Amino acid sequence: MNRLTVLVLLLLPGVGFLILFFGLPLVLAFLASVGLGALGNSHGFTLEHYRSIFTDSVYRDGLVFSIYISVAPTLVSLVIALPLAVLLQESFPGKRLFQTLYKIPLVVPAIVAAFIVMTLFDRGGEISRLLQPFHLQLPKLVRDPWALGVIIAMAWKSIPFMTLIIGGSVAAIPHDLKHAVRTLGGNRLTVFWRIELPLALPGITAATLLVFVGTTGAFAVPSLLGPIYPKPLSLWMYQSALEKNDWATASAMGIMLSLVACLVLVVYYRITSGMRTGISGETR
Amino acid sequence: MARVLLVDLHKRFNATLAVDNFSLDVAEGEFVALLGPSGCGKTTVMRMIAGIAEPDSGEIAIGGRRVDGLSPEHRNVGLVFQSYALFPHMTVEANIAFGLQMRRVPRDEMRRRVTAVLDMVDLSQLAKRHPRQLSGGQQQRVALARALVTEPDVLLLDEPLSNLDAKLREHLREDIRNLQRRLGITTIYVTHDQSEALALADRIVVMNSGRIVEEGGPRDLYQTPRRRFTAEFLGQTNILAATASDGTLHFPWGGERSGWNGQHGRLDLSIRPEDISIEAEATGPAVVTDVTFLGADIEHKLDVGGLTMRARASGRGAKILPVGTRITISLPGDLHVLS
Repeated sequence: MNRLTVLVLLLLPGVGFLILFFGLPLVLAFLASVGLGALGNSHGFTLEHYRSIFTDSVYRDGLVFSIYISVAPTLVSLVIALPLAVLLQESFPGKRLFQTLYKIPLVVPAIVAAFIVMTLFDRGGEISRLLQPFHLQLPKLVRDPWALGVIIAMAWKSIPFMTLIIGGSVAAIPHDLKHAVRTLGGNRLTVFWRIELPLALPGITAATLLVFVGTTGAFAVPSLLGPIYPKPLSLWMYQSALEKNDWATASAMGIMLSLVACLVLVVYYRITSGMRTGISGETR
Repeated sequence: MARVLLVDLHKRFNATLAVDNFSLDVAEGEFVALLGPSGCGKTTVMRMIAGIAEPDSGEIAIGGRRVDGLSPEHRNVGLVFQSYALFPHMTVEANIAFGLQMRRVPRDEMRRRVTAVLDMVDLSQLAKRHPRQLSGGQQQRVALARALVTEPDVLLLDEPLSNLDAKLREHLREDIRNLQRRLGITTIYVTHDQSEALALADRIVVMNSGRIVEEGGPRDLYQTPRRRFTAEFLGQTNILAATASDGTLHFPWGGERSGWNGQHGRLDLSIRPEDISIEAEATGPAVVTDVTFLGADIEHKLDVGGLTMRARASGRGAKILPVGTRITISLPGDLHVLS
């Protein structure tokens, strides 16, 4: 066998898998979105479905809402997970127990998380009942216009995931670097801003990205906890494809969501490429 | 520059007593080496002075000011780590300027001081580099510059040369010594390498199992150690169990020396290999079991009636006696007795 054949054979399992299960569906979805799909009724090449996403206020609001319910939970998760990851490096009583407990949401399916939020925070839910004797009332958190319930449920799912990834990068920072900051006159906060944050940045951006992409296409949580209107694109996609048999519009929305994810990826690579701050570059 | 006073320090890690009853008075401008095997607590002592570790009990004072209980940033110490602990995402310059930034030194003065210290460690050319672009020796010098630029009261060095190769180690050893003399800064140097301690320190503190075994000047400690641990840890030695009675010293192989006016009874002698000379003689009490050529020295391993001893000779005149040669042993005139 010549080198080229060997190379192709070696690449085949990995690249073949990607082409078959990722590239091909993406191409099919794209073809469908421009009216060349096999499913549903197609009438030849058209950009009509994309136009409708931007002109039809229902879909336009849907796209904006989709981005909103990705960005907001990601930011909320980040604000909580980052200090948590840093604090988990310290030792405190009950740390082992806490480290086990905080990971539980990782293994709880999103739909279960949505029901937990519903039973707790809905009007007439557990917390409302507990607050009733004190004549206190929760704000509307389920099916509310700001999608607070959606944000709570998604953040609840994402925080442990983010903490785990960021915690890994923070733990990889040699302790001596933190000690060095202290002996040079910096305090604990200096250690965070000048050492932990910049050196853990690759992990932080990776975690942020993964959570963002994961929440972009979320279906169960917004459909249970989200407001009646607007709905995210994921829900409109379901409606178009399976209720109206309009696969072309569903595909166009899917491509739009993928583009948003790709955009975030590009930004991620732009941030991380100029930043070879990884600990690996350091000699011991 | 300041006097460092440690009083009765204790530190326990779970079941092990890392530092036990440790007291030390380091004079202003003195260079003290803490010497001991790994795990003897020397690094823990240093970390307690820096404030990275807190003693369970005891007092630490730097320049007459109690610092135990203060966090590291309020102690004004300079610490050079074994790993150097340079900030990988900052340039050499930024690493060195860090401590000055923390002290809110004005920009102009900061630039002046960074330049001066870079000059001092001979790294002016590399100011804009990142640590990963430097060799181990250069990184070590950056670490030293970073620790010195803030003009700390005391300089702490934790095995600063142990990650470097032998040649560079000797070179940097001299640099550190010269720098310390020039600045007159109180320095505590932690090492497990006896030659570093001997070459650098005004005073060596030998430690084992969290305690001070013995302390003294390098020469006194090497030539007249009181404790067996010191004798064996500082260089090589032969420990001979001898007995003295009626003015005669009896060696284990049957030899004796009259006119002994030291202590009587059973005693341990410590004799350095370089103080023993050997001579081929067919009826001698000892036999050569191994010969090692070490460049400057020749070491003969001897069997003296079941006891293993080492003798060293140096210089070009030193003879090599082949394995199996029977020999006589000559011990030095003044024999050192361990207590």
